[in-house]
Amino acid sequence: MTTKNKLDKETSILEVRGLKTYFYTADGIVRAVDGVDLDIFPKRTLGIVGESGCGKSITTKSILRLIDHPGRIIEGQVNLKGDTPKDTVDITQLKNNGTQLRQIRGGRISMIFQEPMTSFSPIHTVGNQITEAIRLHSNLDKIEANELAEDWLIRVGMSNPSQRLKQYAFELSGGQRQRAMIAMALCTNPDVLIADEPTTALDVTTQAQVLDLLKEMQEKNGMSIIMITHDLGVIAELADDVSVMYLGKVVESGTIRQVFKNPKHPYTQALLSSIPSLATGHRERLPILTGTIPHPQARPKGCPFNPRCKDFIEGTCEISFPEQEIIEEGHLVNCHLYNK
Amino acid sequence: MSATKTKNENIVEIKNLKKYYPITAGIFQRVIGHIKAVDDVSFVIPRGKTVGLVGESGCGKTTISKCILRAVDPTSGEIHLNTEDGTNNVADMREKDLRPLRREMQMIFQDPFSSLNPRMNLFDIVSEPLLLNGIKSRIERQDRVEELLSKVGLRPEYMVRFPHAFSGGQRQRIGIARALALNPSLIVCDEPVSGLDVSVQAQVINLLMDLQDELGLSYLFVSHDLSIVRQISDSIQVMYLGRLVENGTPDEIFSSPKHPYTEALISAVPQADPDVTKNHQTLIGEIPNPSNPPDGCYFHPRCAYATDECKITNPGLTVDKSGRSFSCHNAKDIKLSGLI
Repeated sequence: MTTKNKLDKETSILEVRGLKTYFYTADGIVRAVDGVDLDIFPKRTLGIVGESGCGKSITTKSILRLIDHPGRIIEGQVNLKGDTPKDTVDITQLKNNGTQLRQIRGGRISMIFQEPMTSFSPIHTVGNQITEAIRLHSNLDKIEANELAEDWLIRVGMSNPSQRLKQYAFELSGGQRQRAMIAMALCTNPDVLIADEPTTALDVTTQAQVLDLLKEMQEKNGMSIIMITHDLGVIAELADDVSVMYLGKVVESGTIRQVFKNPKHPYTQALLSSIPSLATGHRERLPILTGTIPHPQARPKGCPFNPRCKDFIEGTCEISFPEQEIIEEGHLVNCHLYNK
Repeated sequence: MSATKTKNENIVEIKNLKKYYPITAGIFQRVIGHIKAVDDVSFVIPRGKTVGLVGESGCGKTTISKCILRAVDPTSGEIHLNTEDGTNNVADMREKDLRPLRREMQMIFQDPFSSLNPRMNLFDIVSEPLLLNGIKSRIERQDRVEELLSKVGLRPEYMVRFPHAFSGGQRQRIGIARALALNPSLIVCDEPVSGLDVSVQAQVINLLMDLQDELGLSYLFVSHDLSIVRQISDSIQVMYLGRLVENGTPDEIFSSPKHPYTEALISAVPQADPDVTKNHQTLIGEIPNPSNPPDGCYFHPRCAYATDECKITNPGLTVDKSGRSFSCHNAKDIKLSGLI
């Protein structure tokens, strides 16, 4: 773990710098992602946590440029590194639906979704959809692609793979669908896998199976994972690094141990204390985070968390967004409490 | 214990409850088998206490709660509801006789988005049960709705608004206010917090506990989230494939589980602590098809401790000295690990 901590920004496979994605709605501008920096390192998992509406999903969709009208990426860079520094591509600069962008989507960066039922086509077989992904990103013919698809279904632990290829998504159970989804995402050997709440719709037992599978696949294929979830338990189990988001901004980031064992931002502290762990006493009241996420058009000035913060400093927090402070190497926090 | 005394202690007594769904085939809809959704289940809900019902999806948790509320008609068995006016067997009553009892039992649903009518405002939603139960005066209803809304932590001015204006947690509060409208003694909570963010989850759980203390409510709390069930319940029933496999107090269940299924469920819960060793004993496979359950103990194909006996005979529930019951042939011989 200690050697892993010594990661400098140079070694990252994907870096997001100052990303801003705004939605221009009839009611005004919604700053869904408002200056986000992320670093994704090879063979490591980055967890993004935050309440719904904090911009986690929009951030990852922006990475793949999957933002629909009225949303727009207005600023920032998403740099996907290649073998040499000059192979680095800034995804935000690529031509809309150009060849290069299409090769990255599902090729170097794959995505799995929360609800595998709606992300599979109901009128194509599972095999059809997996081979489609393979053939889009390689020169294999139908038979070879089919063999590879079957091979991937075996790797993700599906029983009876040749049979499964001929089935439709509705014929599979939730856990099997998520396995098929993972097979489809990984069959192109991506460098980065984005997992958007992959286990939220599953039972705890199936969730444990899927998490184990993701870990195993990471060990075997060496891809990086960006894991989005609001379940802090899942993050603790899978992630190496964590970024905590609130209202479109990253407010704290670091390794899992730094953030979960020594949370600095009052928001992270509140989130961590509001979950009943298996060790919480019986009928003990949970400390709660007061209030709710503000309306997107009525974002508070200064630090976005100030109206809900227990450590609110009058005259400071409502004026300006805090500068990033380094707590220790790799552990960053945006909070006035730590600004000198 | 005399018969009259138990009547006062328990709000609901369920005896040998069964709910079978017929499987039909052919043009004459001939019955070719049954899905045993609930198969011979007995337990009690003590007055003013919370009983947690846990298990994977498809194990029959929701069917039990629907039977108690008579949203579905049980195949056989007894459900005694003990009210101030006496004991009634809900399972065996005519719809007409049941109506006055319906106000004693209410339900809170999982999805706060689909369980509130989008075309009714808050006043209409919360006062509908009052209107249906003969409180016709608008002023009277208005007073009651105001009281209910402030009880669940919503401002009475919100009465004229529609559900779309509220967040998930607020909508769940509206659902709770509606359930409380008729002063019920029993509330069935079917996964009331699974769709909510962690911070909002804590708020709703705290609210449910406060209301229980204040109003002396009894809860049947159905969930697959073990950490929340442990937090809120006074006793826990673990279900597998339509049958109860174990019960006990939260401490008993979590510190010394007696059934291998309980052990697997506990170990599958992800802990928000990076230091916890992450070796869950992943359950192999999925819950079997309830129309064609395995012979012997239903759990044996997935059980790590299964012996030959398990494949042949169903263990049935054994009750030990402390009053805990469990259904396992090998309970004495195997050592199961809980949480601590």
